[in-house]
Amino acid sequence: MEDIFLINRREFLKKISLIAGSTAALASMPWLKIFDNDTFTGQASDKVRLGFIGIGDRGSALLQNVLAFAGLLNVEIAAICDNYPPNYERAVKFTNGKAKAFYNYADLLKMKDVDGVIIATPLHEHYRITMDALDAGFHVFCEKSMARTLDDTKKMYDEHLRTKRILQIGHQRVFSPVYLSAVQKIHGGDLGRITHMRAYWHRHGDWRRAVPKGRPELEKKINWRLYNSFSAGLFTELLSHQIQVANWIKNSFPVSVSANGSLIYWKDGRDVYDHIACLYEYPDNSQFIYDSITTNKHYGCEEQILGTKGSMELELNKVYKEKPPEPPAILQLINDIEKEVFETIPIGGASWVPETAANTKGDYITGNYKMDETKLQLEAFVHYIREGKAPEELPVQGYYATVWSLLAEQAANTRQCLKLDDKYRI
Amino acid sequence: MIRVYHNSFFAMGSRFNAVFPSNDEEVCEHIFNSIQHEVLRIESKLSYFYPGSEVNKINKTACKSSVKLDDELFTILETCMNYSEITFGAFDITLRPVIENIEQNDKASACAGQSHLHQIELDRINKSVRFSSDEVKIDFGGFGKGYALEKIKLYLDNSPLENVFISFGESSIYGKGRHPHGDCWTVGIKDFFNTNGSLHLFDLSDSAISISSNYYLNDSGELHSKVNVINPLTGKPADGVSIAGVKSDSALEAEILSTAFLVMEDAQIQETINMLKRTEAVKIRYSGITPVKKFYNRT
Repeated sequence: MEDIFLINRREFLKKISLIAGSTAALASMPWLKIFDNDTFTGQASDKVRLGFIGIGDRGSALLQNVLAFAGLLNVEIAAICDNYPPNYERAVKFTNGKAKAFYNYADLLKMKDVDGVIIATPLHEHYRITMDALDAGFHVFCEKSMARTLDDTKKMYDEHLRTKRILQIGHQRVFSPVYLSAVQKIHGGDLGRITHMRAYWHRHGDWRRAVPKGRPELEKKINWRLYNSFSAGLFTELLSHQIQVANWIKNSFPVSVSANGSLIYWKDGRDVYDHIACLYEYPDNSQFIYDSITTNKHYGCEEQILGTKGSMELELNKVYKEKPPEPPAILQLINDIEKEVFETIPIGGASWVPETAANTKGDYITGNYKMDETKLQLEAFVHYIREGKAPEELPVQGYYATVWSLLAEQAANTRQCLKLDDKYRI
Repeated sequence: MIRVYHNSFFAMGSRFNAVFPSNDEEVCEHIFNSIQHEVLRIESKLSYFYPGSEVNKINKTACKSSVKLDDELFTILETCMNYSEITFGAFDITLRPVIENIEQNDKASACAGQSHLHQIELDRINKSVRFSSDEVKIDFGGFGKGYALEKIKLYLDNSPLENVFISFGESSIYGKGRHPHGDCWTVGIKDFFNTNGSLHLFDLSDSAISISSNYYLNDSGELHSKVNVINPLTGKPADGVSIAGVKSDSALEAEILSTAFLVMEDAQIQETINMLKRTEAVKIRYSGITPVKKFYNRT
């Protein structure tokens, strides 16, 4: 199972159309069997034509990832759109002028021969663009988080159901071989009962993008993450990734959240918190503790999954058992006693020291791999469009990740422990 | 049917396994927790690697001035010096720098005769230690597991458990009482090259066995070499493929002697055995893949 991650991706992509659905395909597309509840959404197509809306830093990364596999997967970048000229011009350059270019997304959505759009605009624009794209019949990949408000998030999800179009939210960890392997092992009981989870995302920096000299009116357009009219800051941009992982691990969603936020360091005009801390409770009364800060990067980013039999650090791809592996001789002895057999207890003749020292430092959850999860999620989007169906759990995961990130923001603003209103349950 | 309580933990770079044939899980859990607490206490005190251990403090400061020791640590050092004498210098707690040199530089030949035991000065009146050279480092790697088992043995003597089997790193074993379906605990040393067979059987009943070797079998039955078995008389890793096993009423004595016997000659081993009561040993040397066994008991 582990060696599959060492395969040459280019070779795999050349063969993918031939092996789709086979065991080999599953090995090379580890996400293929996630959430085994496909929803049929339309007709399958051969060539997949994509449009990109919003081509800033994240949008450019997504575009370049798709360009890297476009030829091999029979994908065409049919259109690009950005209303900020430098981004627009950069995207034209990336696509060698072959894609139709727009400043207004509404014009892109008038195109009849585009299968899906990839939306990577500032958060507050996700709702309107996604609604229009779904309504116009496009499949949609929308970066996380889904929307700036709970109401808009719910409407986006409902619109996806109404239009029967694919709605995939950019939670790339769902497509990571490490996370897929971890979730499979955790759900299989490897860590015992999951009694606690901790996660954090610590950065050291002001999170700013440079604003062109003499253009102060662009500050909020470029640094939209720092203004709560456009974003919930650390809640929607970072926490949303990790609450999604927590929900996935628990195979359920929180029942409440308490949170706190403070703006204690970057007093540069922003109005989102630069430090946040959250406490989620799940239906089994277990807790998920989270914090994100912007003034110290020592601990970086991690999700720690703690169970009665072991722990995992997902970002590090490490698993730690609570107890050592059982020596064969001890297992045999226990078996003999229970079966009322008196036998010699074999001992190896020497200590186990060299191996034990390594094992106390943890083992890898899965073997080495060279697969980029951002690319994998985009390959998956192409695959889903081509198949005309996608697992419904994907937008459900995206929906609740956004909802519980936004609720955490509300909890921090009100200093209250909040539960989800029934009208937002799906 | 009798139930079996089994629990384990990591300590001293090894895995510690306890098997208690008993129906009283609560009692077993309490005893296991007490044992774990004691083993970890000893490890934190004697570890060469823990920055805050007593041994680490001694290694850093005893070359500059005398270091006052508590009763336990002074007794341990005295014991080590005594066992060095009765093993003709083969048991030596000052070889860690030689091992590190070999691991880092692979220049075994440059380190011959680098024992520093004679540079340890014990002050029995003030219960302190001083090193006469800054090259001296003490390491209880060939002592700690046996010492811990000895402490456990004393604790178990007063416990309600009649039968206990403990394996520390699969090389240090203590058996109290007997196997529930036998009259003792029978332990067999695995043949490296014929893993279905036993090279020698030891029957344990309120006694311990320790095995030392310059090779070891992992859980999958694969043979690996070790570099941390050094002959203090040559400063080089023990050559050939050898196993030394010692059975004794004292888990500590078994641990110390198995380490020493691995590098000692037959006559010296026999002489040492003759000085001790109720101790027996076996040494296996491989000629190719053929084991050649010699057994020693008091004559």
